[in-house]
Amino acid sequence: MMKLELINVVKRFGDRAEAVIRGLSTTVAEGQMLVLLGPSGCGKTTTLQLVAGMLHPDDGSILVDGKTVAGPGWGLPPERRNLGMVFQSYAVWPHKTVFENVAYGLELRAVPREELRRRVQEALDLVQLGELGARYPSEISGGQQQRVAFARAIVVKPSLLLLDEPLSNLDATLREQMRVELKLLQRKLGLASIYVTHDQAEAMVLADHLVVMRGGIIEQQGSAEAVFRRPRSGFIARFLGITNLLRGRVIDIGPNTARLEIGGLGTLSAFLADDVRTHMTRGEAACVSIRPLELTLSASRPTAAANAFQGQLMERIFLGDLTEYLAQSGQIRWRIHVASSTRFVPGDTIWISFAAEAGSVVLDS
Amino acid sequence: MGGNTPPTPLGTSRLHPGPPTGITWLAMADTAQTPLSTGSFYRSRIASLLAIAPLGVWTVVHLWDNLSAFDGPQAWERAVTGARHPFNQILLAVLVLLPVYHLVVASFTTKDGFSLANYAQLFRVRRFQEAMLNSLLLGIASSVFGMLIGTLLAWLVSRTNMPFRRVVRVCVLASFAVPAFVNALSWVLLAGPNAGSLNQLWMGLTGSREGFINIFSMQGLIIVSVATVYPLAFIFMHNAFETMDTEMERAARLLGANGVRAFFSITLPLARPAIIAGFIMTFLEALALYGAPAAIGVPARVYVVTTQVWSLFEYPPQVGMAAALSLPLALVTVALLCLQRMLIGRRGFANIRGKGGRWQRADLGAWKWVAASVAGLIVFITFVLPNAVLVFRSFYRESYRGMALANFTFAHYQYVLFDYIDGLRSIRHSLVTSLAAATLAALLALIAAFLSRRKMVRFSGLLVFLCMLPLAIPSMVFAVGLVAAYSSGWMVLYGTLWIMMLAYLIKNLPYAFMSCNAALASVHVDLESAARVLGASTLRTVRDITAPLIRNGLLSGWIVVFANSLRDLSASVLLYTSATTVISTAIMDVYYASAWGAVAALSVILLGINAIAIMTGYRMFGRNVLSPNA
Repeated sequence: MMKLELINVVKRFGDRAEAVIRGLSTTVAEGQMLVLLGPSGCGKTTTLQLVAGMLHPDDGSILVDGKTVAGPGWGLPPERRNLGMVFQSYAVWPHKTVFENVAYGLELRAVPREELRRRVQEALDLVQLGELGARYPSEISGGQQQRVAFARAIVVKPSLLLLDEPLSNLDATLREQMRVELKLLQRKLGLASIYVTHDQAEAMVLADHLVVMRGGIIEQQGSAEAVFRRPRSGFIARFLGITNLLRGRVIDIGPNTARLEIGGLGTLSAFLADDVRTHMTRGEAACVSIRPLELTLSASRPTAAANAFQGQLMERIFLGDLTEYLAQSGQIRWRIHVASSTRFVPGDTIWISFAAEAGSVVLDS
Repeated sequence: MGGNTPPTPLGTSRLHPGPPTGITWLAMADTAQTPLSTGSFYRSRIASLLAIAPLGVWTVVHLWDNLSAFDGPQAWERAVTGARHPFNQILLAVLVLLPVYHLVVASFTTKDGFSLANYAQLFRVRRFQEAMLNSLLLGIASSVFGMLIGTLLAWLVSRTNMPFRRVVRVCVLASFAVPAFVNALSWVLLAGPNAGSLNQLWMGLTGSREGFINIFSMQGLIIVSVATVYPLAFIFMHNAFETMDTEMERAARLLGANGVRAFFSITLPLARPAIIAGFIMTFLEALALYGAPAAIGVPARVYVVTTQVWSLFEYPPQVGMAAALSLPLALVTVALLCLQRMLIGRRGFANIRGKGGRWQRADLGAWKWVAASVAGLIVFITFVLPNAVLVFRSFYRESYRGMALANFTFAHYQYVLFDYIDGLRSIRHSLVTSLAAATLAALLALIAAFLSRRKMVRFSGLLVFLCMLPLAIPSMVFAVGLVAAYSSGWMVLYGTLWIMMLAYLIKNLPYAFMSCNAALASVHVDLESAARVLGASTLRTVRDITAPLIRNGLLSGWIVVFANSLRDLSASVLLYTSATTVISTAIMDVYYASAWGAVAALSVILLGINAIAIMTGYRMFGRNVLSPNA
């Protein structure tokens, strides 16, 4: 049974004609972490609030543990959904100690004194705050408050854990570290979770199931790897990581690949996914996305590669493990990542090549 | 004590009021006004309605804007430059009429019915014209000098490395806690002709036969007024300097401007909204002063509008005339607030929105000691010296044989507490009315803030408006309205402690409301949502989360109302009768009787209660104050 099901959910604000959420469907399985990723204003926080019960949908329904908690125009209040939630602002209560903060949910559930103390202590130990129970939130750091918020949410053993950009107020290093820690904790607890973020790197680390939203609809969903490797649209390709996005016209559609005419460059062939194929017509505009690491540089024309283009090396940027080359072929500027050992210098004439399945044909958006 | 004895004002002293006490006067005044034809009755009311409607809107809106300065610089900047919904203003326009209604009606009413006679009188009688001119002069002088001093101190404290910055800041802010009229009385002790301590010191040092300063003069009044209003200027300018980003100044420096030029071409223009607000608020404050003009101006026969309004309440009371005289105060207030809006306009001073704190202090070098001396001197003269002399005088027995240890005594305290008939009684009255006013104001404010903030009722904006309304009316003008409203009809409160309590309650309701409202605003909605998600119902959430979090705001609002009520003179002086004396009016009574020991002792008791209340307040803002991210 699914822990959460969203079925064709629609949400409008006020009497504005344009809905904020326009028919959204997805599921979260037992123990799975679903990451809602998207630019600000895409509706991801609204979706979370619909699940939490702070808002109610105008259409569609929401099921938690197979039980309908919200339908068109109605919904159970938050306190009757058995959820845990971690807020962007942490929302740790400043007038309660760390212990009291975590204990509150158990008090509401009338858990006996002894068990309550044990479970709170377990939760605090889990987030490595075992010693700080007597402190007030103003006496601990932002990262520690964040852990208190997490402990408070999980101690009640919720059906579903909701996380609303919980790491966005932390500094970069701590965020990086907490990201992995959060992933391990969630795995250990086996808690079904929804995690909202606009940070694609964070989404990649955390997601079992990645949902990319845009303008109130799901643009693409799947495993993080699948979405990263085979983006459906130019928007997804650009939003997740760095890519070379070449805009052109479809001239031939094969079983697994398609050929495109790229203005000022020539033709190339790239992988064509089935759900993209249904939207493709010969002669229409489309794009090809190739990640910089998929490109190969060589001094002379490679013989085997399906796609090869001559170009002028413009710049060499040292990135540590990798070296980034900027090259120009006509109007097209390439970003190429190669192992740092290769040595070309700006001004060299080089060949850029890639196999057909290394690139993806994507929708032009 | 020749020089310290003020001439008895206006021939009658409140210490020995004539046979007709307040309530009887008013009853008489009322009967004198009753024969009115129905037609003229309505005409006068409609006329007053049309006269006051647009003015009221502006006044409330602008005062409300400016008061957000107390919430910090960003809040003030937002409030002053933010846009407003026109519907609100219309709503405000209709509602602002109610409390000033009686006032305006009274001003247009004579025994012949609706008439402009009261206003004609304003322009006929020299005394009134002089009073208006004097008020204007006092306001201008106070705001100019107040701003100069306030700006200088604010800059030194917030922008330079002057030593003892904190001490200076604390002293300036502490001057707020000293009631203006107590400050004025201290200055009489210091600079009264001949007997003032400063003058005696001067005579002792120079062998001169006369003192060098006479407080009983327009100049004296201005000095005291400046000392009273400059802390307000300080707050506005301090806020502006604190939020300004010095990167901007530095950018000018890098382009070749020297420090002085950068200050005048970048820093000051950026502070323009604060400068305008500072000028206007200090001007209005000086205009509404009653204590200082009563203590200093009246003996010197320098009359201002507020003291004239008071004199019109002497037997036989002329409420209509008083109303006509006090309405120009409201008009000037409104006009100035319009001016401020025009000058600042909608131009967002976005640069001031800086994060605050991202700036460096100017290094004054050796000059910092000069700066510290100047700032120290200002604070010493305006705060330390007057209060020190007051405390000293409360323990000191006047003697012709000069200073001696034997002259120190508790006799004055013994006198005011046990012998003086109005002493203990006035303290009791003050405490009872202030405690009641503070408690009721806090309760009302809490309910209103809750309902409006959580949008639990329709027209919640109206609630906010009702709570903020009293700010628009100067204390004394408000008191005239109260007298007009409650001295006849179905509820006669004049002459009871109730009307005092009501005056304190209504006058201070805005402060309690702002405090509650700000506290509620700082409770992030996530804090409540977090409890809801964990399984708490709405009511449970309010009990466990919201209520404890706003406790401090509620208490601080309570304390502000209490302290303000305790020190009020300008409303009390029109509302009290011999049976309902409060501390402030008792102090003025013994002052007019030249009982200096009693004046000092009562004042110190008042300051003491005030200080205890305020300090208790600070204590409460201890460990679990809201953390910044909450």
